[in-house]
Amino acid sequence: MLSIDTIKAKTSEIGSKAYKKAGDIIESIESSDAVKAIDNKIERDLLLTQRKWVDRTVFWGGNMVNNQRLNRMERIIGRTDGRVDDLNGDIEMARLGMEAELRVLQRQRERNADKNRPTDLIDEKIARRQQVNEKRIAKLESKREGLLTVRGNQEKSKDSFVRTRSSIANEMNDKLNRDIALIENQFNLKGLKYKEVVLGEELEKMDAEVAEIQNERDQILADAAELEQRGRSLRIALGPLDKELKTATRDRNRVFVELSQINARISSVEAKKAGWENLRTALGVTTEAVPKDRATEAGLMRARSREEQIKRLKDGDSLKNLIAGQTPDSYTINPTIIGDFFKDIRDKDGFNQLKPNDVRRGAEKALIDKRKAENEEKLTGFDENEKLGSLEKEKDSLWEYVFQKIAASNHIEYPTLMEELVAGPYADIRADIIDRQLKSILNNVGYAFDFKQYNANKDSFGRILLAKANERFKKLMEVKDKDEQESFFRDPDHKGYVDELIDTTIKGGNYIIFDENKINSILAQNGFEKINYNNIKDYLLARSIDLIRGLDLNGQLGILRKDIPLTALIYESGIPKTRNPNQFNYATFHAFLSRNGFDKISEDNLEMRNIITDYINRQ
Amino acid sequence: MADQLTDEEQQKKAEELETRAKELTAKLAEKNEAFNKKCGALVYESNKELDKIESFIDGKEKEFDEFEGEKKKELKEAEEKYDIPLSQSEKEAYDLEGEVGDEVSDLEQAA
Repeated sequence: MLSIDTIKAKTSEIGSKAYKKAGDIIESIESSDAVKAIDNKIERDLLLTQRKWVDRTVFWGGNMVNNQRLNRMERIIGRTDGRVDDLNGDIEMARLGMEAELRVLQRQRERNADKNRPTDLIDEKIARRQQVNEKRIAKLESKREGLLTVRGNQEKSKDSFVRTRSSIANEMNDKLNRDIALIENQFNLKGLKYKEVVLGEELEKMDAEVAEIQNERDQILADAAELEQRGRSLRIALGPLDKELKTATRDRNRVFVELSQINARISSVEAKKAGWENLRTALGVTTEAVPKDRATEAGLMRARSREEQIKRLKDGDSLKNLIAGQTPDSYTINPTIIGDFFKDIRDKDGFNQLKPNDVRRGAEKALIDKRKAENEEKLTGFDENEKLGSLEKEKDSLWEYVFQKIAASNHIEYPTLMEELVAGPYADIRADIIDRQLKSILNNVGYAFDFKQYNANKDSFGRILLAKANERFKKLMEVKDKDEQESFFRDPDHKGYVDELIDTTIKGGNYIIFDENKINSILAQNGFEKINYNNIKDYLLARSIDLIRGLDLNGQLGILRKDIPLTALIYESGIPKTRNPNQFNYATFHAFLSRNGFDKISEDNLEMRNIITDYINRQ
Repeated sequence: MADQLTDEEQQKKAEELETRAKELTAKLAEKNEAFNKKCGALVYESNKELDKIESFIDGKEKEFDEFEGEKKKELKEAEEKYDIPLSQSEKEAYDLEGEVGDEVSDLEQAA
């Protein structure tokens, strides 16, 4: 039989081995085929992409820094300059030669004259030689002029090439800047890296936890060994713990593999992004060398197709400058500004194929894209509730954009929209507006919500949307004068909205007699501050009659079944009070009811008579 | 020491060890569940985000391929348009020189 100490030593050794084994498993996973396969695949993809970007950088860097064609153009110009210099020398030499020759001939003539010899021949020779030499000089000068013209053309051609090349480089630069900005905005790298760190910490914590429990387990085993010496087995009790340790180690290892994959993917994404940045650096070396010539650019633009012009407008500086000049937080551009911009680029930048709508659409899209990027950056790391909170605090400009888009996509205009939105409690706001339209509109401006995952958001949206709709409506009403407010109220198109607005009084039982104070208070709360009950009471009465007329017999009798409206109707009909139902003037009352919309109740309607009898008996 | 313990004490000790083992099992199960839940969510969100980014970058990459192709074409066209062949300039210069030489020679002969 083994001694207690031997058993203790043995169990401790088993514990150490088990822990070492767990460590070995982790190590083996770290270098496992699964991780390697992931790394290899990502690495292969990355290498291909990087290779492509290196080729690009070499090509464009080479073209911008050391363009062989440009070098050749410069060499030709240099050679032409050399020939012009040679010609200058030739002309000078010819002139000197001519002068020397003429001097010799002149001296010869003087000598002949001194000796009284005839000078006719020598004069003729002088004249001929002068003519020949002058002609030769003139020809050389003409040749030089010709070469200077050739050189001028070469210079112009070179400049045009440099300008075009620079323009291409600028476009490349713009595109790269835009792509990099978009990639940076699209990335939530900060968030991703934070998650990566948290995962690493969780792994460490779990390792520590497993190690601690493993040690305790070993201790229990050691203690149990002593008891086992006495015939008490505890191995069954350790079985579930061992199983749990195995599960925890397996789960930990799985997360480790997943974290490795995430690490590799993040590195790959960053390395890909570096491709754009390296090319931008390579291009940046020369792009500022030659300024753009607006007239030349405009000429090139005019020669382009409409599609190409639309594309150039989208990618070019002018649109970006227009967007940059807009008020911060604006989501729409004043049509006059777009109109002026359209004329400017058409006349000065050569965008002659574009239509005003192309420019409007392009400008609006560019503005919304910019706002989207800004909002996405602002909302980085926000959860759904934080995003909702931020949306609620958004400035009116965003909500104005949202309402305009909803109105446009429904092919309806204010205030029908308002009827849709304001009618009834927020739960009644049409689900498709929230689900389909609002989600898409908000997504477009950088507020991406997960409606499926967070169903409760629908209610929150309904509440926010209704509050904003009411707020907007109130503001729209406040700027109207008294007549405009009154005519809005009386406009047949708005009757649905008006009914809702005065729902509690018009349908709440007081069909004929209205609560003046309540009506005035509702009007003021909804922005109708310039009108009051007296201005609209005839309209309210007419609407009330309409509503009653719209009910069936049972509905109309239902009004009479309620004491408050019945009292009001009897009072308004002018029938004297009676305690005897038989003395009640049904003919007059029926005539009054008929005038007030109760068209389904006949004078001898038994139910009506029973209601009135019962009513009088209860008084 | 266990061999010095009474049966009753041994029984108690065994029960204590069993309880401790159960506690540890429950504790580890709880920790592991929390670990899986938290890490699972982090891994899911990270991969979702990475899917989005990778797909965006791939899209941009393709878009850039097309854009670059166009720019290369434009650069080539500009090279062909603006690069006047050397021979043309040289020829112009030689032709001019030839003409002058011939004319001067004629004049000189006449002189």
